[in-house]
Amino acid sequence: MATSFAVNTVIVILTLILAPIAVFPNLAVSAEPHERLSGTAGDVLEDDPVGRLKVFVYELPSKYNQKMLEKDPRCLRHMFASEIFVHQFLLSSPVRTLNPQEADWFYTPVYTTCDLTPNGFPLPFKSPQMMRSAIQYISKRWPYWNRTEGADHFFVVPHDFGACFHYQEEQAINRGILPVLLRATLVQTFGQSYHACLKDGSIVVPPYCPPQKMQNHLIPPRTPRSIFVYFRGLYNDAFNDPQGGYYARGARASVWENFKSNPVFDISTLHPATYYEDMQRAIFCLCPLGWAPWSPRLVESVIFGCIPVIIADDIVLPFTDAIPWNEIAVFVPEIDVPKLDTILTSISPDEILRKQRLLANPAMKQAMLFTQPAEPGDAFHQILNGLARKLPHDSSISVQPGQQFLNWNSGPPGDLQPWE
Amino acid sequence: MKATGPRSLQRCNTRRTSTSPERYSEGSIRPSALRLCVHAVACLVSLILGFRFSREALLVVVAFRHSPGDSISQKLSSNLDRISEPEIGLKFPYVPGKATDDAAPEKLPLDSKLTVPPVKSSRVHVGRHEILIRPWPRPNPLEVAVAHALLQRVQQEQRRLYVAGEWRRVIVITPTFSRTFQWAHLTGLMHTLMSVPGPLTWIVVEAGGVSNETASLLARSGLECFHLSVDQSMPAAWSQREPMESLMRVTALRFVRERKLDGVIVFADDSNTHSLRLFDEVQNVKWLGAVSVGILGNYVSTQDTQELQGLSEEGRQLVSVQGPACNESCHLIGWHILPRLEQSVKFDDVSKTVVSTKDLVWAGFVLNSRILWEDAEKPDYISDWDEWTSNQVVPSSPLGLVKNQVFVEPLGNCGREVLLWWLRIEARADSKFPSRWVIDPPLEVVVPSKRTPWPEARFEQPSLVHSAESLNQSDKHRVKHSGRTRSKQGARHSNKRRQGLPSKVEDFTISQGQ
Repeated sequence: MATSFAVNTVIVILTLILAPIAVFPNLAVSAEPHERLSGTAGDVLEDDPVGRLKVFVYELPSKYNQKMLEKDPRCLRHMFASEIFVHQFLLSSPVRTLNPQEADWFYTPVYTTCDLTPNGFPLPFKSPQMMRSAIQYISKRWPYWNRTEGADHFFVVPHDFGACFHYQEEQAINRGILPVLLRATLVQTFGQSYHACLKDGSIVVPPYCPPQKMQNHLIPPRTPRSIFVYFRGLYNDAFNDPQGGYYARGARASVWENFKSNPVFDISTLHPATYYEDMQRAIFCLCPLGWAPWSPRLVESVIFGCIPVIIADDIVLPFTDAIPWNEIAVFVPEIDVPKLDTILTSISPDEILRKQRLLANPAMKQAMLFTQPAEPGDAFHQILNGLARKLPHDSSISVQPGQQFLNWNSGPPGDLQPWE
Repeated sequence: MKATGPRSLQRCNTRRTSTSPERYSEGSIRPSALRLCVHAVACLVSLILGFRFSREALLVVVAFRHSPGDSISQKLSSNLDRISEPEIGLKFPYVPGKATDDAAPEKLPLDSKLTVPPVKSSRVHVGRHEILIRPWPRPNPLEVAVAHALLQRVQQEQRRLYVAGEWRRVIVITPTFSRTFQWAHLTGLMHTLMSVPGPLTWIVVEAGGVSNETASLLARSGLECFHLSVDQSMPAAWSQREPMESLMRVTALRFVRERKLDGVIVFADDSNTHSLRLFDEVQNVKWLGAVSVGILGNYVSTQDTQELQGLSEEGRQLVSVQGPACNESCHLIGWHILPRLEQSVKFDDVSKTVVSTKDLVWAGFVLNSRILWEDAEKPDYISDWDEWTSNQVVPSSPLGLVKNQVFVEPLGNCGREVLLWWLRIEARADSKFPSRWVIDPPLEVVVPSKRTPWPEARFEQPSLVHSAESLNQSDKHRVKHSGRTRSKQGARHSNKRRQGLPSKVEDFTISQGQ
């Protein structure tokens, strides 16, 4: 009796001691260098898409993908390489299904940005024809395109202005989104609100930055951040815009003119060998628009823990439904560029430290990268998460017999030519 | 296609106040005939005149338009205000069939899933924009100060997060003596120590007695300082300076032992350059640590070997480093040293610096101050203080504090990081500038000229022997103020003793302060 009483008291005492630690687990944990994006937005980054959707990959003749890559292997390294890596990822991903009947989404692997000039810039002039030709191929061989007129298909179009397939903004707007893609979901890097080249329901992704190259340039995090604002890039495009005012809507030139003599702004055109290391030594990295509002600078800033200062009106940043960019980045309207130094110095130190903690979250950095091989939480998985969030498909997407939504004859006459 | 550098935007500066007529030209899809004529005339005129006339001409066109909000005066007055939405411009998003009233090339069926979202007003449009430049694009010093404060706060947070362990107090021991570059060296060292982000104690040992100037410099630094002195003055011969400096350092170590100061001891010579990483790295020392010291400056040996000249096979300049040598598993297996060289000192060639050829410099060692305490718990391999200092000869490096060199800890990634640089650079021995570089009251400078009334007075360079003498004399005169009377007397002496070479420094006609 006495021993059982003693045992009972010991058990009671132990539970009393251990209960607080069970209820308040943070008592034993010290402050961490990174902060989890708490709430619905942050947790979404770590969702696992496997099991939530099924993707069927069409088998196109290699002239649409493999042969383009063989003609110019530089396609694997430039910032539009995401289209190739998404294809390679999907081929061996657990979400892939070989049975199209059970697929939720259909993917067409066509590399539209792989036609490169000798300098390495992609020429978009044949891309509309290529895309139309690919869609004609799949619509003839499989019934799934005609079933919904492409509403459950998705395409990766990472070019400057997405599916408008032009590098000049006016021309891109004139052309608009390729008419045959108007019902499909587009995965693109371009994002600007109220713009002709951003469709409702598109998934905006970051441009491709080689993860290994950035990994090789990491410096220890205890290296003190001694640069206040950092930027390297062009301020005017003397070849295409000799008089100024067109390129970057004058914002980059404004940054240069206002802050070239400011000692805390480290801005210049010269591209140093320690570019990545310098970004890790800076607090703010400017990400102004260029000819298009997006650039790989955003990805580099997030990876290197430098708070991005976005100077692009109406821009839509990647994965906005998963990443709370308002809390991480600083948005400066283009009209306020002359007051950039006032804006940046008026941010409180607590705010800066909080943004740095959010950036230090490894889930954030992982979400921006197209890692080789794919790892959980990286950009591929965020794309799949985005696609999974759009499920289940609305029943109205199926096309009744006799109905037709897409106009195959619209667009400039050059697009209507057959490809190759 | 890359621009080589940012173009001057002066033209844009002056054009800020003018309108941007190009917007109008993009907007209308079919420009009117009148406008075309005016444009053609303007082009011809500009061909003749040689500058661009079309902008001015289009001002005329603009003036005749009556659309509200378009007046030139409005545009001229607002430099920084954003130009309001142009009434004429390509409306975005561009939906074919809705932009103009002309017949559309095709008509799309109205289906909510196909058309782009209804036209909302967007603040952004394609076209030429003004480059906004504020009237005074110079940095605001208050904002620069705030930026530096933010940088400091961020660095403090970084240290808190990523530098493990508590910051131990750093005790810096500096031997110094009065000479021309003393002030320059000490100021540099003072600034370095003031930037160290942690508690610091500075022990300055001065040869020849405590001087007011050094004390005033230490007071200005705001650091916790101890100003010790050794009665002997620094000898002139370079070979005797090393033991003297060792003596000064041992004096400081004795001070640390008696006062039981706690912390990490760093030997910072005043002429060395230290990286701030050094002070982070020395926090890791347990008892006796060694860091790599870079050796700067050419040196010439009397033995004629190419390695000793500091040149590699290709003839490139090598940088010598003195410090611990480690094997692959980061254990200390030896030392990188400079072989003992004969000194070759040339005073009149300022490009050659003096190399003090020790086996190992004191600056490469870091101690835990408890190694000196009497009654601290020390491991067995630490020698006793009395044993170490009881010899007749002053110890030339703290290696004697450990019984076996195996127990020396290599710091800085096992000696691979060079954290401080040794450069013994001194002024010419006959230089008469006082240590504070201030000559008060100002001198009368007498400069020999070609048509001097004293034809025999010549300016000669001092030889080695004379320089030593002059050093002794400068040591005697500890008063740092220049003596006006002395210089006048010197000049008068030179009047009389014009024959032969001047044998004393103050007989030169260029009189300099003492």
